Parts: sequence; structure tokens; C-alpha cells
Amino acid sequence: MRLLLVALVALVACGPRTHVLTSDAPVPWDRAQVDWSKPPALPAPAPLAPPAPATFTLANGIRVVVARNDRLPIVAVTAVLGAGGSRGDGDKPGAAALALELASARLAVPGAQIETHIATDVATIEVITTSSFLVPALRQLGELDRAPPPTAAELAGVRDRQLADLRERRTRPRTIAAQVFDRVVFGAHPYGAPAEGLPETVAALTADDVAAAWARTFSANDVTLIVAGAADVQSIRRAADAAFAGWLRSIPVATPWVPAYAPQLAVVDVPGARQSVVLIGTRAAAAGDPQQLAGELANAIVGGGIGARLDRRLHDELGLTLGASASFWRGRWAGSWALATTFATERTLEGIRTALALVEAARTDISAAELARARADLLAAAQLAFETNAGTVRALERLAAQGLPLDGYATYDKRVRAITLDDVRAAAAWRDLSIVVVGDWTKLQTELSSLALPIVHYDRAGAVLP
Amino acid sequence: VTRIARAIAALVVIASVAHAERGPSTPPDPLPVERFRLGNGLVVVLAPDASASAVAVHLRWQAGAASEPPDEAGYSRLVEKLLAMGSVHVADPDARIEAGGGWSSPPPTADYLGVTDHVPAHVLELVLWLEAERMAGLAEALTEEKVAAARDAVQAEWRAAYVDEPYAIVEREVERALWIRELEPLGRPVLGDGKAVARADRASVRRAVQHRLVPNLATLVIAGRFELAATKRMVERYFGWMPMRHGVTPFREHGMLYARAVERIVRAPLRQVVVAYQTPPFDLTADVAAYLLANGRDARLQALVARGLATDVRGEVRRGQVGELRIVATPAPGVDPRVLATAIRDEAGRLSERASDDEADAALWRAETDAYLALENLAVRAELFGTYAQQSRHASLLDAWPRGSRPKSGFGIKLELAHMLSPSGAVTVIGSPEAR
Repeated sequence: MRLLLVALVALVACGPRTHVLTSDAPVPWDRAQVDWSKPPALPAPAPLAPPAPATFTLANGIRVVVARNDRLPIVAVTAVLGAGGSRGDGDKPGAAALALELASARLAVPGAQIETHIATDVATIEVITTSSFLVPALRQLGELDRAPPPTAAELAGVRDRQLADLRERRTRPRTIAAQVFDRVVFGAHPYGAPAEGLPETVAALTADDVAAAWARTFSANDVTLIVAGAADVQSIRRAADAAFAGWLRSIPVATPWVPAYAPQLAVVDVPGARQSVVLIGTRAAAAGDPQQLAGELANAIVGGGIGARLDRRLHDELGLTLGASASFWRGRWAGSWALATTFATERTLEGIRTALALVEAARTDISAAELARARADLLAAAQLAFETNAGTVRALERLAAQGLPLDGYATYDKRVRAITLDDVRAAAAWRDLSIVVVGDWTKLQTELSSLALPIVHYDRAGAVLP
Repeated sequence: VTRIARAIAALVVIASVAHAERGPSTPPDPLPVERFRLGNGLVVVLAPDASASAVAVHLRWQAGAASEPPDEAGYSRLVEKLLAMGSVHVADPDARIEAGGGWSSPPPTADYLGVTDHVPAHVLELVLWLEAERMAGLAEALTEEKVAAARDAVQAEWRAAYVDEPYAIVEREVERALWIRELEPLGRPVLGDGKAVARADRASVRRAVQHRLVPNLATLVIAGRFELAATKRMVERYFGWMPMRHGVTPFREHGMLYARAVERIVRAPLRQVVVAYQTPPFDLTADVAAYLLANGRDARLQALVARGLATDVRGEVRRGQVGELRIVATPAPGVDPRVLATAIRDEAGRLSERASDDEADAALWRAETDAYLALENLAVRAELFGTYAQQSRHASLLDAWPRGSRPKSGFGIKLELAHMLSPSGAVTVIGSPEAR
């Protein structure tokens, strides 16, 4: 035994020694045999690798897209409801949005996170749950066409929440500015009004109005089902076939007339406001425009958030704002581009003029280096979108909502890299800019009158004031 | 030898048959993890995911606020500020990561000091080079100016949190009340006490950095798309050369020591009620409780909003060395917050009796979905793997959470809820502008 102990002690003593430095000993950089003076050369970035979804069409024409990913036992499924958009509301604004909320409240998929979204063109219901509940989720979505119409009690509860939300929006200057901007750019077109309706229109809706919207939304075959996650294509096909068999109605989509647009200075007076919320923008082409990607790159350079021109100049250099960014919105019939920011009341004109100058300069002075950076950012953002199942269905959902080919991401990398500097400069030629200001008009009036735009006053609901 | 070989073969056959009779065991881990330790003590957790296109690198040192000596309260935050100010060879680490199409964020907690980077897969080697250089050289590169800038930034945060608009007062009181006796260090605020940082100079900060950014206190997690063998070589190359150093004594929890029931009222700018409980960190029971009580569509405490006692109620689950469940509510105007607090504690304390097995089952499924959703995000995944590695030698987080909770029934969950939400462990803090 003693011998064994001696042997053990000897073994420990002869073993590798752990060298522990005192905390203030100098760093032995040479020991690393690494060149710390220059970073390692990076390999070329891999091309964008979007999921390669399987697509098929049910007997009734409903499209199904499946992006399989077995990484974790969860799935995201989205139903893009072509007949559920607010453009179908006609003279009952807000009916489709209420029908969508009521449907969402009816779904009882175990473990599910359920979200809805309504736009003018389409409505969507997104369900995220564990894979074992995908088939029940599809079944419940499909059964909405056979569900009894909403009861008065159901409607009252959902409408109260919706009204509270809509009224609260009128207290948020940014939301007010966005609604007025849509009205300025799209006028009487459905894009010019909030998809959820206004408190006055929603309050006036009857159960029959909502039932009609329900029947329209949950029976038409203008549906795209998108599934991402640990999901088997065959079982999805079987489940979707059975669940959506009754969705047979074909509801013709009229092309809404898009009224003429003329730039203006739109003003919402908020007496006493210490800041002005400002949107500057214009009408843009509809989804699918050949210049769409060039426009996205131009936007990334000018207004793509932190580090882009607008934010750098207005925030970093001049301290005029806490942040500024710009973006496109694209619908099936038209689109818009706008930059959004906030200025202190007394610096509003200075901020607007600076922003206008930046937009003007972009037509000619975007550099190749900026384009290269914007390309990399756009591709990285697209790749990031596919990191999660929800991101994947939302990326595909955008294509479906805009009526674009669902395999659009397969060629995205190539198309982004093919955009030239001339393309981007041409796309950066934003003209006929309107300006929306939500702020204290008594303090702004004198200065902003110098902008040489016709001035139109709006109320907080987006209606033109006499 | 032949007899021995036969015996071994027979044992293998018996074991195989026994395994076959039990049927398939746990399905293979979809997020396999390899864990090892470098010679200098740095723990490495590699979680490759071929379905990802990006990679998250999370480097943490077990030297958070809980490990701070009293004269260095707030130094973890100070060091975190300095991480962004450059090292010996790199002046702008975060800018380089952003230029590579990624982002970097420091998530300091009471448990640890750390940084998380999220980059496209091809940028991984740059990140490892940057992080290794920063870890080794931050102390050498300190200047009076950098220390002053970091000190001012932390002091400004401290003033904003506790003096100017003291929104963090309630948070601080919850942590102080929840973590007692041996767990007291977990309740130390990351921003410190406003005094130690004010006295910080280059020498003391340099010493603090040297005591914290040491490999023997560090865990490196890499999650996402990478090639395993090549990444192991890179990790060894960039981090393996660093010598071990004497560092701070890391705080390690010694099991759960349930808090004592307490109710405190503090002066705060907003009226708020927080009821908090200690929970196991990686167990869905806390998530189930949050869902049943506050976050579900029909969560029980939402009735308090309907009854006009509160304007909102929500549940939060936090994971560290020990976990934490909080119910946060805003009293409705004119409502005595103590009445609201009592109603919350009462509902929580009786949850196990009142919730049906079906309700508990439904909440369990929802909690499982949320857990998987968290793990989908590479940066969150890396941080969770880091937290898990700090407290368990078991490789698979999924086997413990959320998979480990799956066999539990609604009935089983309710038994655990009864224990977890015992009124004797409920810590209540009420924030009110009228409090003295």
C-alpha cells in the first residue's frame, strides 16, 4: 500500500505542470505564434443559401410551400389569405381585421404561439408550435370555413380590444404621421387607409358585416400555406388536402384605381409638442418592379439605419435627431418610399433641409465602396432571415403577399450582385417628395412655409381639415 | 485471451438485447454539443448546426457582479465598457465585426462577464482572433482616458438607474430580497454601488481586468455553422497559448436556498408590483407558472385587469446559476398596490390547486414551444449553452431543458408548482412615487 502511494505521488510529481502566472505578469504574445498585427484573411463569403422549399398545389388550387428543417422539433406555419386583405372591406372598413382576430381566438392548437396580420392586399395567420401539433394546426385552420359565424359576445370582446388599440394609435405621433403619409401618397386608394379601419368605422360594424368578411376570408382558394421546420411533406399534403378541401370559392380581385399623386406639405398640429415627427417620401413602383433590388440597395446606402448616410449626418455629425432611417413599402398595385425621423421643434426646418439635400445628393455621389457594403449587408440580412422557422415563413410570405414567384430567393444572391452603380444611382432618384410633419404648427408655420410645397392640414385620424 | 474476448462479446450481446427490449431510447440530440477544456482551463463548448448559415461566439468569464469584492462593485460593467474600446493590436473590435456583416453585444449579469458575437459563417476565424487578442491584451492597452470614459459611462448609467429617473430601484430591491444568505452575491447590482466605480483608476481597473479575463475563468461557446475539426484547431491556436492566471474567486451557487417571504415598499417613479420566486434554472416549471399565471390568453392573473385592480400583468423567467420567476403588475389608478400584491401571491400560492391538469398540460406545451424558439436563435442558444455549461457537466442542454420536462404530466407539474410558488418563498417589492 505504501509502495502504491509512493508511486502515485511520483506520478503526480512527474506529470505535466500547469503554469499559473501572477495576474500582473506581462502577456507572452510570442508564445502564441500568431501574427497579431493583422487579422486572418477571410475566405470569400458563401453565396446566400436560402432554403429550397418543396412546393405543390392542392386540388382546389391552394399553394403549399414547405421549407423543411429538422434542427429542432418545432414548426411555423402561415396561411396567406388572399381574400382576407382589407381591400375586400369596401364600405365596411375594419370588418376583415375583426374577422381575422375572431378566427385567431378560435384556434386552440396546443403549445401554439399565434399571430395575425392584416394588410390591404392580404391577411395572414401564423402558428408556431411543436412538430407534433402541426397536423392539428392545419386541421383547425382549414376548419375555419365550416366554423359557425362569430357570436355577438365574441364580437363584442374582440371589437373592444380593437377599438382600444385604434384609439391609442391616435396618441402616437409616429403612427399618426405614417397614416397621414399613406393618405397623402395613395389618396382614396385602399392603401391610403389603415387596414384595421378607424375607431368610427369599427364601432359601426354589425355582426353581419363581420360574418360576411369571415365568409370571404375563410373560403376562397386564393391561399398560400407556408410551412417551415421539422415537418414531413407528405403528411402536410395529406393534412392540407383534407383540411382545406372546402375552400373552393374564387373571388375575383379587381385592380383598384390608383389616383394621381402630387407632393405636398402635410401638417398635423400638435400644440405644445417639443418635437416634430417628420416623414419625407414619395410614391414608388409596385412589387415586382425591375428596379426593386437597385432601390433596396440605394435605400440601404441612404437610409438603412445606423451607419447609413441619413443617420450618420443627422445623428452622428449634426446631433439633429436620435435616429433616422428610410424604407420602401411595396404593394401589389403601388408602393412608397419614405424616410422617418424626429427633430426638436426649433431645428425642424434645418433637419428637413439637410435630409432633402442628402436625398438629392444620392442621385450622383453614391460610391462603389458604399454599394459593395450595401450588397453585403443586404445579403447578410437575407441570410439572417432564414435563421429561424418564423423568419423563413415570413420571408416567403412577403413574396406570396406581393404576388411574386415563391422561388425568388433562389436567384436573389445573383441578382443582388448583378446590380451596378448606375442602377443604384438611378434608383436613388426619389422625386416629387412630400413632407409630413406632426408637431406644433404655430411654432413651425413661418419656417416651413419656405419649403415651397402646398400645405394641407390633417387631423389625427388622417382626414383633411378645411 | 480468447475466453476474455468471448466474455466481452457475450456481455455486448446481452447489453444489446437488453437495449432492444427497452425499445428506442431518447432520440438523437438535434443540437449535438462537444465540450472540452484546454490546458489553460478554458472550457470550450462547440455546438455545430449544419442548417445554420451564421455562427454565434459567446465568450464569458465567471466573474460577474456576484464575484466582485466590495471595493470593486460595478467593475464588471466597467470592464464590459472597456471591451469595446480596443486592445493592444485592435482599436475597433466591434467595428471589424460589423464590417464582416455581424454584430457584437456584451450581456453582463450577476453571474458572468461576457460578450456575444453573431457573424456570417466565413467570419468565424476573425472573431476568434479578435476575441483572443482582446482577452489577452485588454489590460495592457488601458489608458487613463479609456478608464475615465468607461467610468463616466457606468456612473451615468448608475445615476440614471438609481437617482435621476430611478426606474431600477424596484429591480435592485427584488434582487436583494430574493437572494439571501449564501446566495446574497447573486443579488448584487451589475452597476455597482455608485462609489467603487467613482474611485476607479487605471491601476485598479488594470488589476480588475487581469483578474477577470483569464482563461481559467472562461467558457467559449461556438454555435452555428462551422467545421468541427478546423474550429477546434483555431480555438487551440488562438486561445490555447494563454497562460492561466490568478483570478477572482468565482461565485458558485450551492443549491437553492429558498427566499423568505418579504414585502417591501420602495420609492420609485412608477407604481409597480413585483412578486418573485426562486426557481431551478433549466426546468420548464417556471415557464409553465408564468404562462398559467400571467402570459397565457386566459391566464389567471389577467382577471385582475378585468376586475380593475391592475392595468397590466406579465410573467418573466430568468435563467442564471439559479432561476427566477417574476410576476410584474401595474396597479390600476386608485388601487392600493398591497391589495394587488396580495391577490397575486394568493393566486400563485393556490395555482397548483386551481389549475386543472389540462391547463397545466397546455401550459407545458406552450413553454416547450417557447424554449425551442429561444434555442432557434443562435446568439441566445450560445448564451444558454454557456449558462448551462457553467453549472452542469452534462453535455446536452436539450436533454435537460426542454426535453427533460416532456415526460412530466400536468399533475406532476402541479406538484412542482406547489413547491415553487409557496407563499413562504414569495418576495414582494412595491414601487410607488408616494413611498417614503
